[in-house]
Amino acid sequence: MRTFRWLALLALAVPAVAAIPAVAAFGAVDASWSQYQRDAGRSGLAPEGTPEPPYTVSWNAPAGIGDPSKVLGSPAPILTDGLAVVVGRETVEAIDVSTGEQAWSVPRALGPSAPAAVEGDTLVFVEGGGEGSTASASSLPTPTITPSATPSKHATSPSTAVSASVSSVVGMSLRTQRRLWSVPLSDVSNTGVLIAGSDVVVGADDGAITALDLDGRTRWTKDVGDHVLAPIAASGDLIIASVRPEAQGSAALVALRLADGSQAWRYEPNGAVLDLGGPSVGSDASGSPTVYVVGVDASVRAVSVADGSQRWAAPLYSPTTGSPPALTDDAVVVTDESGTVYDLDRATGSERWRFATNRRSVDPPIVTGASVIQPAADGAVSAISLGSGHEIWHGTIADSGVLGLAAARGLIVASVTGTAPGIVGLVSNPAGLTEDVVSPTTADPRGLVANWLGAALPLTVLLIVIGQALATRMGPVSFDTADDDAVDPWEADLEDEP
Amino acid sequence: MSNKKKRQRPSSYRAPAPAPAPRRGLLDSILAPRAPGGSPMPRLRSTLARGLATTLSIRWLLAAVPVVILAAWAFLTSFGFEGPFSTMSVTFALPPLTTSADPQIAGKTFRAAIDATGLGANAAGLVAIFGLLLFHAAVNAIVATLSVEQLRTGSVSAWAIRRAGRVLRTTLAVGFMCLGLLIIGNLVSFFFGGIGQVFGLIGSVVIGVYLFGFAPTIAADEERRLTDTLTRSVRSARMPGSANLWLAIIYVLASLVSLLAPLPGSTIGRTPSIAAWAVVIVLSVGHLVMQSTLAYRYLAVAPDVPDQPAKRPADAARR
Repeated sequence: MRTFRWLALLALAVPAVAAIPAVAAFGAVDASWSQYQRDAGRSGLAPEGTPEPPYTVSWNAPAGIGDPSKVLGSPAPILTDGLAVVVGRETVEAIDVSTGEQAWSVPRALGPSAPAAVEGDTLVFVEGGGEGSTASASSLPTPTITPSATPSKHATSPSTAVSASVSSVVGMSLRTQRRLWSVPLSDVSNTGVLIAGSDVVVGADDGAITALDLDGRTRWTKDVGDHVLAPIAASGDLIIASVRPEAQGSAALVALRLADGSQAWRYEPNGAVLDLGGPSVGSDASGSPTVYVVGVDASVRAVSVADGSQRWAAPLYSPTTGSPPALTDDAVVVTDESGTVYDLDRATGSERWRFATNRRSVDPPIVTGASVIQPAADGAVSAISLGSGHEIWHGTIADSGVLGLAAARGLIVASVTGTAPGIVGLVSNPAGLTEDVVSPTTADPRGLVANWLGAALPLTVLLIVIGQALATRMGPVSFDTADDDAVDPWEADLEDEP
Repeated sequence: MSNKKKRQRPSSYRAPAPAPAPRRGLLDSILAPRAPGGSPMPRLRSTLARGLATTLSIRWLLAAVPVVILAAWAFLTSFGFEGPFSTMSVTFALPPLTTSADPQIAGKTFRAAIDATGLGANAAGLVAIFGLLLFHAAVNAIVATLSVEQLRTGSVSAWAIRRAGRVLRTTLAVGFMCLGLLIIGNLVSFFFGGIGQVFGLIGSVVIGVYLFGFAPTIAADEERRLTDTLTRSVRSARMPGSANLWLAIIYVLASLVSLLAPLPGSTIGRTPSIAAWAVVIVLSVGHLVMQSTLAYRYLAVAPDVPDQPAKRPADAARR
């Protein structure tokens, strides 16, 4: 018995000891995941030194994200200066990634969580909007540009956050947590913050896109259509936003010039695609930038950033929830809502592999050097080999959804909901077990026939035996045919006999 | 040459119906008042037991269930279908349950090219839905005919398969009518929101099973025109005290729960596990039991089903 206890202790201790070098590397966390999906292009490509699977949970820090019944929006974390920052329901919280302890927390007006962004000492986030959206009533059919150089309102104290029916963009000093400025928007915002160069861009549910400088001065506002709900991406001097129609019509992708908000192009897919989801941008092998979007019509589309022309479109098995694809040098990695992860050639859209995790997925994957890391709505995280398309590790880090990932040297952080909503730090666990699971979507004729035989033969025999027993017990059927017209054909045949 | 009369099997189990009644539309039966009096239909529990015994007595049918499902699965996966495998449990279901699952299967298997517009965007799906509808109609026709033969004679023969060819037009018509019901149900759910979804989507399936559930049995057992078969099915369903509506509600709800529940086979994949096969086979046998139950219920009351819709009191008084 004593031997067994020692073995159990040893089994617990090995992963913890093995994780020490990775934990020691926390101090080296850089600011390379400074906004949603790492950068303005929303590539989701983890920096060099990101740990590879298998993983182990290093720490778990509570945060005000809310349990599954209360979580709003997308509280995906960002990483900056040794801190993981997450925008919760009514707080913005920073976790020291070297210890897993809360570094600071500031109040925020209740509203949908959306990823913050950081540039230098300025942390920009969105607050307010309450529990829902007021979008549809205020959408304007005609796009308008409202250039403005008017200084914005400057909030002074963290305690000034109040509930509001529309959202505001807030600039805050990372060092002092003092609010530097606050700019009200025309509606609730779900897009999160994009920082492209020295510009801050946010979208609102009424279709307005607003650009500010890092001092909170509004540079322009443009109404691009019915709703802007998905995160906005940037490429060079263009920002690219997905516009969702009210109920009918087709979604669009709109490219606006960062300089003045004028429209560079507008892409509308053929057919009625209600949502194109969040775009991500990267240059293909030829060096020409391309924007990739996933549609609710179960498709991935590549569109030229230069002129908005479609390069290719590829089908998926199930629709997606609109999370942006992750990009590597030569691959587009997308996940549909059923949890099937696809690796597509960036140049042609041809499918290299797919892996069905069969875990519902809402949030986008990230790509490390050798793996695709996919969070799931049931609290699991799966790692799939980029090379083989096989699952090489999976683990459960929460009892409900994993709502977003961010990666840095030696560390992956995940925001989670459930009974213990917060931020989870994952580190590499050299003593952990890996696996090599082939996707269930791979054809296996022998397995198919074997499983079929294993179920069909015994069940059929069993059912026949039960049928015999029932027939013996219940006896033959007799219908009380009072109707003279009813003639049993077999009786009629007998009457015909000589 | 023998003097023995050449034996010729009748084309149905019941003698031809008496003098054909004046033609009436389907709506006459649906909208007419229910026939007065009680129903001689056996109780639900005893008819379900008899349906179970009937189904389990047809060995060839039991053996065919896994074979048909395997063939259908192999066919669909060769065209790109990857599940969930649990949708295969509707293979032997009654319409509109089959009709409601067909668009999902067709949409994932026979998909038009991305960005296709106009006819090209819908042609593949529509052809696939029609093909699946035809397949289910054929399956329903065979199952209904086998059930009727088993109930009438205590055994089955190749005659049932030949007879099924004549029942096919009825099951096909029922399939199309159920498709129409589903479209109406979708419109109701679109216009009336949350509660409309319950009454529109689920209600349309229940109504389809309730009104047309007897039609394949009538077609297998009697020699009638198509419209007469359908209207007779409606009149049989609406016999007072028969609890047919409850039977339809229970059947539809149980089937929908089995489709939506996280049972083995409810995930994406091309190689269903043994448990998934077992679940789908058992559920399929459950659908066969329902078909046999309806066959037994109809055959038990067939002589009492009125050949004409009941007259409205006002009409009767006027005459």
